Amino acid sequence: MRPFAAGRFRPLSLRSKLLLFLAALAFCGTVVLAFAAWEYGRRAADEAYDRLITGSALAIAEAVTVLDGRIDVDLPYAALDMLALAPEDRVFYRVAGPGGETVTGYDDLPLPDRFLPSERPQFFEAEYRGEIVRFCILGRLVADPVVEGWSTIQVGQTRRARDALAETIAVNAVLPILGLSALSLAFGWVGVTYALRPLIRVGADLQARRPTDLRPIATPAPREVQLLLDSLNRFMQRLQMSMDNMQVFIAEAAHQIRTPLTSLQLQAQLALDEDDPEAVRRSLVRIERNAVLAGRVAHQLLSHAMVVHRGDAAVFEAIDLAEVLQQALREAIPVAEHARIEVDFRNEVGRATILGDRVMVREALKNVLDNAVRYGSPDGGPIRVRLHGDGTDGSRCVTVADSGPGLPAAERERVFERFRRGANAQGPGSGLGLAIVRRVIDVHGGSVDLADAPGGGLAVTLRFPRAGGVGPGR
Amino acid sequence: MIREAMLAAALILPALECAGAETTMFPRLRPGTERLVIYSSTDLETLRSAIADFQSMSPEIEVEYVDLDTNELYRRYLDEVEAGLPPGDLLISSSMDLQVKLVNDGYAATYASSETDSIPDWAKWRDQAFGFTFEPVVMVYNRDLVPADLVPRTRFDLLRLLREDATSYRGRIATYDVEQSGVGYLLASQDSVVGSTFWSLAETFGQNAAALTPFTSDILQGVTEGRFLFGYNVLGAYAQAWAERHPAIGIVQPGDYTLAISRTAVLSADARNPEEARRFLDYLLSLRGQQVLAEQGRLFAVRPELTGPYSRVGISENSAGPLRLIPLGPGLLVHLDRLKREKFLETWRGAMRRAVGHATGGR
Repeated sequence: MRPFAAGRFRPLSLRSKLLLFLAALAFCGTVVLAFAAWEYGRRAADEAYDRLITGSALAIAEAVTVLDGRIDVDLPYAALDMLALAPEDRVFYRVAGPGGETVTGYDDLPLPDRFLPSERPQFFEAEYRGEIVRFCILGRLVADPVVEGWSTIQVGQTRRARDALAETIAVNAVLPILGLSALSLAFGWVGVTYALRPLIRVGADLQARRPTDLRPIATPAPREVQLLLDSLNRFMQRLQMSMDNMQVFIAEAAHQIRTPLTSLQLQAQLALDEDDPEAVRRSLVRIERNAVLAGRVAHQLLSHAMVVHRGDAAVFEAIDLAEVLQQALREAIPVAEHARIEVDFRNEVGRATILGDRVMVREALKNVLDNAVRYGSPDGGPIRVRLHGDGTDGSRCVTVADSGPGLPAAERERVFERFRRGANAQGPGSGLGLAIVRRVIDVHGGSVDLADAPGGGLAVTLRFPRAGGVGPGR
Repeated sequence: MIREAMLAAALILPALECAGAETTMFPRLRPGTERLVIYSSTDLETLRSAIADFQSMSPEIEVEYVDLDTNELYRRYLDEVEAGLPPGDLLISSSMDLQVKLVNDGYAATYASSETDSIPDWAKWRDQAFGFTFEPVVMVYNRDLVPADLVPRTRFDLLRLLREDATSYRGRIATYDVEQSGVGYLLASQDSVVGSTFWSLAETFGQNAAALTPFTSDILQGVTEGRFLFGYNVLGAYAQAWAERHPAIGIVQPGDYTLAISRTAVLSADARNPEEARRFLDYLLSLRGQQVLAEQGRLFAVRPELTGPYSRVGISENSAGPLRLIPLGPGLLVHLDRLKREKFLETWRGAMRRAVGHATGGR
């Protein structure tokens, strides 16, 4: 894992994150519920005490009569005494006649914005004599030959008892909520510890392993962690395979280098012991051949290593395939050395821009050309190199067709394996050439195709996606 | 009200002077500027020692004591507030209903202290009205003229006595004139709420031409002198103080129920000297103040910690029947309702219509 750059904060631990979210939830929940509880408490308190003042107003309404042609009230003692159930609250009342004139009580009580006289009590709040007062107002129909109409009865009470009750209700509701929040945090703490235990176990398991131990982790884990474990196990499996491959490669490479070097050494010793100049010369020829082979093997091993390395860190840019191909031709088929080989090069597309790594592409082309020169032109037959487009998707292709013996279809896939050579391979060779080609083509997201060349021989086609097409793949 | 004039200094206020207002100055004992104006319906003698004791603790306060009838007190205070004149700082009245009305109508200041916390809930309303005494309402009789076996122990006894003998008691019962006396109206209205006998009793009073007076002293004086045989609904504190000086007075706490009132103090919301008013209120409610009120003023202590004859415990021991406390609260507003009061007085007058005359004699 990448170490964190200095100065950056270490990410919060899972536990802290989870607890933070829980705490946020608890906080928001508490605030919301507290508001709700307060609102509910206020409503409940209002409902309860509204009944009280309604009762009082109804009791007064009962006592409204008409006496000598005037509205008359005999204020029942209980009407106001019952309001002492809210012991600390001030009480105001008023009885008005049909004309709105005060019959008795406080004649300056505030009235609601709208009041249609009705027997249904109506409630409102207003400030009166320095305090918020909740009023109940209701009407009583007076049916008398002289006085007729609605008399109104208004009873008000300050809010002290209501507020106290609302507060009690709210506090009683909020306290359990707070308790629940605290409990959820506590359980969250325990739960997180419990839930994270598999991760800690896996960590401990990995820590305890020897560096070479890449066996899958067998620790049972919950589903969420199992996903991670599966990925980890697959990764370790690939690592194991990769390491196995590497070991085989190293062993093979060592063997490949060692063989020509050993024969070089033997032949050199033989030549030293030889007196006959002709024999010495023959030995030198053999030595030269082996040196070339050794050099070639070394070159290909390095080339392979380079390609593998570059494949891991390839620099892709727009390159002209034609130009790279010509360069490869010059390097692979030096005129002096292979004067007898006829190379027929045809460029059918002109500039062929692809997105790729110039060095790798060149290396791949050189290997294909090298193979053609080495195995495909036993009697100096022509090698036909063609740069052409692929009709279907605009890919750029290089086809190298030789006039050699060709390759049986059964062998075509196997020759791409490292250190694997064709059955009819003669002469020196490392068996890395096509492996390198395959690697390069894979990195570029292209394809390599082996086919029979017209008129015998092998036709190798390298296909590169066009620049701007599908991006490079691995 | 007892109004034996023992005035150190009587100042007559030029404006808003009510008829019976008597002002007494208690000069400060040490140079200073603080002062306190008390409007009180309580006889000065009852509070004199308490004020003196208070001044011994706060010598820099000058106390102006204005003795007023309960109704006068209420009216004068409202008039002064209305007119923007400096009203009393502390209002003391035995008319609990009028005090409750003052609080209800927003004329009282709120105050809470450790002293106000120590009085029982029924003697307190909204931290604005504070009952500082606990006074049973009693019947008095003349020991010399009423034979022991005829002394009524309950209202029923009194009723029976008056009904059975239509002539002997004619004109010889006295009670408050509820039309003039605020506390008389309070007691009568509470009687009408609490007891079933009140209107029968009132009718009987009317038939016997009971004497009606706004002043307690008239009742006690008349009973002492033998003009009256019975006095009905007399504040126990005055009766007690009187009886100690006049052995002819006998006191009965009615056995059916005994009303108990609490002299109530209200801090004026418009007080010019609110701090001094609060200090005096704290003093009245303090153990020391309560002790002085009980021992010197014969005002029964409201604080439950105090024991002795002038405590709640003492009252209960003397009381034959249940004590009916009049709690401070909105219930007291009912009988202050204009129509209610008119009706009540009308009924009262109807009951009294056979009464030939009011008690004579001044204070």
